[in-house]
Amino acid sequence: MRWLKALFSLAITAALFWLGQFKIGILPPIGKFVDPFAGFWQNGKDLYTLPKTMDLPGLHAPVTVVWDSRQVPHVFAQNEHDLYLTQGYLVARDRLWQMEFMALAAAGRLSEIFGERTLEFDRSRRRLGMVFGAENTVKALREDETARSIMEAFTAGINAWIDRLDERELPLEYKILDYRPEPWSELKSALILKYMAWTLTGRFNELEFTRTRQELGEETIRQLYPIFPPFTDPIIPPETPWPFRPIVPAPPEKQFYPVAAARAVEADPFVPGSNNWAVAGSRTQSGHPLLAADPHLALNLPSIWYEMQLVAPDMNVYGVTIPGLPGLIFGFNENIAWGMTNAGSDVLDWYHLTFKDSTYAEYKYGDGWRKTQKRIETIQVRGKGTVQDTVIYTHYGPVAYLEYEQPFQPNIPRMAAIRWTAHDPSKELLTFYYLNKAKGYDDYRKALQYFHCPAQNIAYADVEGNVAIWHNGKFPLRWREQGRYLLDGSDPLHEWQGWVPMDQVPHVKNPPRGFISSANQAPAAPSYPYYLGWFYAPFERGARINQWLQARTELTPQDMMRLQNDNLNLRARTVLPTLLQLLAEADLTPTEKAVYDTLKMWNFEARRDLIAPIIFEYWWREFYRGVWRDDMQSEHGRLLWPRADITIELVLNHPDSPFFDDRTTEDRETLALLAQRTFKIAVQNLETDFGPPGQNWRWGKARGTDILHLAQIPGLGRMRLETNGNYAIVNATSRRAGPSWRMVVDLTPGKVRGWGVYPGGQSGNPGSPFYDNMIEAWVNGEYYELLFLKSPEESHKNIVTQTRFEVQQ
Amino acid sequence: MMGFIFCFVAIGLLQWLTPYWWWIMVVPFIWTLMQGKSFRGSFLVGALSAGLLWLIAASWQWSRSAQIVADRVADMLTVGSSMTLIFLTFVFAFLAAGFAGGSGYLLQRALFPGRPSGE
Repeated sequence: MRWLKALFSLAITAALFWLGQFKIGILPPIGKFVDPFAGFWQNGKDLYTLPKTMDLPGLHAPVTVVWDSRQVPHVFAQNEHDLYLTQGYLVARDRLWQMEFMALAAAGRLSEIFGERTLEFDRSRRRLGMVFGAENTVKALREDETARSIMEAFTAGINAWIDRLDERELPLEYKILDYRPEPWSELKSALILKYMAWTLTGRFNELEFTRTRQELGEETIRQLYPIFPPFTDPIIPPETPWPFRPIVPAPPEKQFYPVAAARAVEADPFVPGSNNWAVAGSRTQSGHPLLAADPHLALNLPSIWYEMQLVAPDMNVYGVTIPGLPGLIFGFNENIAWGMTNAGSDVLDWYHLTFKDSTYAEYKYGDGWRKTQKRIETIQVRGKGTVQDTVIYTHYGPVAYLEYEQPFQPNIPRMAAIRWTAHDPSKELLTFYYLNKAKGYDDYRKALQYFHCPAQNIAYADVEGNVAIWHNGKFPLRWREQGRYLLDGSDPLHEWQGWVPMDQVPHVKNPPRGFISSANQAPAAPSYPYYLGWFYAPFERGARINQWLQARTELTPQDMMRLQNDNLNLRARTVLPTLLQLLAEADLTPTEKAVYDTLKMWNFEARRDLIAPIIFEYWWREFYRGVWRDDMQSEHGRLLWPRADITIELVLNHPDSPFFDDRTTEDRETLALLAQRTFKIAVQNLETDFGPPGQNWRWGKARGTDILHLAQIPGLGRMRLETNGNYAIVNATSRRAGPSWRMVVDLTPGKVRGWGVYPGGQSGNPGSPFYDNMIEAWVNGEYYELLFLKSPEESHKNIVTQTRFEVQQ
Repeated sequence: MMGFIFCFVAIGLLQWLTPYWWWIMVVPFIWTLMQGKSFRGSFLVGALSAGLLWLIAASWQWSRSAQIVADRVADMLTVGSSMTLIFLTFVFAFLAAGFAGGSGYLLQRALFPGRPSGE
């Protein structure tokens, strides 16, 4: 009996220990987690407070860090080694969990943290060759002495932080998810580059589009999917000459028509975009250039950006970096400013393969067979041991999925190899290094040579008065439309034909119009000789920016901020008046009439306090689906739908187009009927979702923005922010994405000033007020003046404290 | 009382020196294995020493620095407020250390049935 009692009590005790020590499902280990001595209670606002003076292992000379009131570190080092070492240390202090998480995600290692539920995601990263690409980048970086020393110092700085981190100081997410950080490595930094490369260039629709061509035929393809989209004002002014003799390859005579069954998607899904522009002195009040940049990405906490000033002999730069990458990615120094938008040109193709047999050891190439190589991937799955996965590599790249496998994303073709510039050896980090130190246009040009993937439109302005933009990257030399459809991996003629010379990519310096800009639209007019891709952002943002700048002179930094926060919905302004005219007012119910009147009165601004934006959004979506749903049916699933821009073009210029007819009915429907029908459905849907017209229909409330935690941990994000803007608007704020960093720089010689804001905060610690302290300003379109110091001794009201890092004796 | 003071101080010291939470179970278990006189007394020695220690430490952290993180964790665990979280911290320590204390005593009774007990 005594033993029974004892065993019973011991069992309860063991259960409580188990609950306390081990993670159960999504719950953290309770005891470990709530322990006030080492659990989450330790992750308060003063965690990681640095002393005024401390040793930093590896330094060659003392480094001074000035902290401002937003916790931005201004690093003053006496040599570059110490600068990057300190940068690594500080970024790790504020963002260690985030940077390691991004690297693990890119490497396909999330199952080590989350167990089986991320296994297929991890497998997909391995199949896409993310680590293979990162390894090639590390090899290339190590061959360059400058790059190698930066990487080594930066890595040593991160590891110096990890080494001093004790269990109770672990970032909150490690405690919630119950794991520990590993030592940092150069490979992890390269993986973060690949993470960004995938985000920005891993978008493709060859599979759906191959199917679409089969179903609709070449003529319809030419009509509905033009290479140069309607209404587009390209990045490079159309009158710009191309003073070079291009080498453009001819397409092979034999077309390739593989059978490609695909699920397809509506066009216009969220695609990360961005804006940037620079205005020459001829259009500014000061007579000196202004530059503005706002990259649009999925919004998360901790924020993707980390703000810093980096100062060493021959270098004083301010800007933002992605935690885990040395140097600064967007920013300005005493001479120049730069900012990037995604180029959107096609740098990823799929090659359909014919294997000799089911061993996948050889694939057809030309008149013979080539051997594959096999790479064994080992995925550690928490609680389940290891899973081995064999990835087949061809000379193009890895084969993502075999015939019988289910791709992780529906747009990844089976039995096809991926050819992607992110797999090639490259040294993008050197671009940041040289841009950070650049003194003028030649340095900018030199820096850009290293940036291969993800290709970017890199806007530039300097204190000498120059403005320029390069659609910069390593672009495959292709015949026209090569890579729009699946390519034939057995035909050597389908190989990339070389590279577009980097000095022949679309670019312009000091155009007569006095400004340069980009918003992910087509880079150049059809007269540009090379084929770079076709699925660029539609016209709205680019056209609006150009119209706005063209109409103004005497511009100030405040004007640049106004344009970044411009909410004019150009899509609505282009198409809505025509759609409204088509409605038969007499057939509308009183509610519909009220909604109609609201739209008619609308000034086309997507402002949070208005209800018209949500009405247009609902109507447009319904209308767009109404136009294409019937036409895009196929027994193999949906096809790649024509985009919004072509739809608008049909409404405005081809109102009798047969595409407005619903093929599934015997009657012939007109554009007017479609407009009327979809308007009524939209009003019904709005009432279902938000009740009768009123406060709940306000754009800020009905749409709003959610900034989720990077690992989607509930409670650690900021939800239901009442934001202005929308996709396809200059202020491209949507439900889950938006301007992730807004920067404006005034390039007055000797008095360079910058302003910026991002939706987050410097600290990655959810227990710190600096985790999300800039969100309100960002929502309201406000900016902080960036404290651009000349020396650590400079005094300013926003300087809070200093840390002096000493050489370890 | 002696047991309470010993456990309170020993757990506090060990937790301060090392990052392990399970001292709240180990210390009362060992104490009551050696010194336990009754199940109820042994349970309370563990439960109150660890419970109070964690209650005080959590409240102190909360008042000093951890309000924001506690609000976020309360949101994450859907427990309402950070006050509830302080209470939950207390409850976990109370139960885990209480049962550890009780088990120490019961094991002692099972191993050494001849020893005089307080019951």
